[in-house]
Amino acid sequence: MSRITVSHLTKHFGAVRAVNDLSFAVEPGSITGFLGPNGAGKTTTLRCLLGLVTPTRGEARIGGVRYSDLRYPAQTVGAALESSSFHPGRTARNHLLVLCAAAGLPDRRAEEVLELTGMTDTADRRVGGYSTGMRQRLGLAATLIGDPAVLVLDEPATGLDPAGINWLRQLLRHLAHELGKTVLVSSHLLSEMEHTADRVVIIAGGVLVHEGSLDDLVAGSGAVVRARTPEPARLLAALADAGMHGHRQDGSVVVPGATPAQVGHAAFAHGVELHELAAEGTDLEDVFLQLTGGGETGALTEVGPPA
Amino acid sequence: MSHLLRSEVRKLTSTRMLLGLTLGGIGLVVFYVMVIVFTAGDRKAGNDALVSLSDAASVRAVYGVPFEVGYLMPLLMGVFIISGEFRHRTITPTFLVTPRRWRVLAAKALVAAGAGVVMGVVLTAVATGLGAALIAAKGYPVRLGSDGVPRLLVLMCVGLGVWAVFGLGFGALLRNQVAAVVVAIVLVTVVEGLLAVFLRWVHLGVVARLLPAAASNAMVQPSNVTPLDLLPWWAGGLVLLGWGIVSAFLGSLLTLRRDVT
Ligand SMILES: Nc1ncnc2c1ncn2[C@@H]1O[C@H](COP(=O)(O)OP(=O)(O)OP(=O)(O)O)[C@@H](O)[C@H]1O
Ligand SMILES: [Mg+2]
Repeated sequence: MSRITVSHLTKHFGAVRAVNDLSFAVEPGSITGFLGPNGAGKTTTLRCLLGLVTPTRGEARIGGVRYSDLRYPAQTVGAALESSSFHPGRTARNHLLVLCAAAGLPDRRAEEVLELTGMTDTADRRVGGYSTGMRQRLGLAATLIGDPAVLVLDEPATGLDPAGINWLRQLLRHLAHELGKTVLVSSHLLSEMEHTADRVVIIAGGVLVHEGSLDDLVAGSGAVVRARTPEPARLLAALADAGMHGHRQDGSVVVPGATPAQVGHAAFAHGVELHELAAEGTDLEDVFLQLTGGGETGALTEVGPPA
Repeated sequence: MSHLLRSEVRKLTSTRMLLGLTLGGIGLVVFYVMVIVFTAGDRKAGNDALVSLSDAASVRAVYGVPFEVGYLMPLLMGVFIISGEFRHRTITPTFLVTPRRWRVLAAKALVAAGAGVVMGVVLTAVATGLGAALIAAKGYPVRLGSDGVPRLLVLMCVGLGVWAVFGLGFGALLRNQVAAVVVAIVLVTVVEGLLAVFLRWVHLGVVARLLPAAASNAMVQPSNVTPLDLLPWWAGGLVLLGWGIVSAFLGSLLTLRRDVT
């Protein structure tokens, strides 16, 4: 119902190919991280999705409908695109009341979202005097005003302090996991999403480089698990049993494309003694850099497995 | 549409812009009314002044100050109503809530027109009140019920609404607030004046009468002494309305298509 589908989306700004033949889907009930370095085309994709920018080719739909054809947009999709899209001379409450009126919502929705985002006490101050974090909260309040089933947030964590990031994370989890909403959150920091997103869509240079879970990302990245054991032969056999392929290296066993949990379980099941079990090259930020082509070659050889 | 109108009214009344421009307009009108009244010559005393309060046309020039200079305020308001949204990026939430952009622009045009009329009423009241008091104090007939004055007062209230719509189109065309403000003011004051002089010089004075400020002035008919080349009042009104519609239409056309980034 409230699935987001992006198909063959392409947007050129003159000679700049901001987004190129991008296709992916976002499912309800989960948080999808939309990742990419600066200039990857995240904001452009979201603006195409929200009908603010006309794609050169392709399209994006929400629940099978184009944004501009939605009957009740604010009640269907909540979107926050900039950290500040407020008139500095207008109070937070008035900003929300303007939206309430335009969306045909009762004025009490303004009070409700102010409370939800902890803004009630500052709601009558002009937004010009707000801190970045307060603006982010107000932006979030605005997205929730129509109680939409789909949330689209562009870098909502920017400018939030650790407590604020934690609060945002809890809120997004609640919205996705308990209320079943579709949540698409962009970020240029994988670490920010690592503990929040259930799935990730990673783009670079306007094209898709990865879509799926974070575990897939690790497995496909050339990351390895290193195990030290007094019985390497038995461990290799145990791994083979579990469908994994390891090899000996520097007196330990190295298993590519696996997680420590999988290797640990295989060892336990066969009663193999382990002295050390560690993930290597699974620094997600490195994987991210490698995928998006932003890493230095030095970092790449360090991460990549010996061919 | 009523939802959108309510939203636009809330936007307009939740910042200080409308109040500031109205106060600025009052200041401007008070200043110009006093200038005209106090610099007017006294033809009774035998001199050959261009402006004399014994003339009906000069009295109209006093009451017509909202059309002669006051229109800049609704013009600016119209510019601000749309360019403010681009400047503060509130156009993003606006178009997110109402993706059918033409509805937003239609609501803005209606609210701009309405607020312009409100400004028109206020400025007209100030010009008429102050003007009549000063004219009476100088011992001339105030002519409030004759010589086309009642018609002028009504036309000004409505005409300032048209100026607001004209400004709205301007702001939509230029988007950059500072540019739109500067260009709008310079165009209707300096450029229009120079253009009119040039057009008359090449014997195209007929065209010069169709420029927006000239159309506004045509409704005042401020002088029957100087050879001002003006349309009849009703034609001036229609031409000004035409400018408002053309400007709003072009601005809307562009805003409907352009990417919001
Ligand atoms: N209006 C525009 N005109 C021209 N080029 C644009 C426009 N908007 C975006 N671009 C270009 O498109 C590319 C993608 O930009 P976009 O803002 O989508 O990236 P992003 O992934 O959101 O980056 P960031 O993490 O910095 O926000 C960039 O090269 C940018 O310069
Ligand atoms: Mg961006």
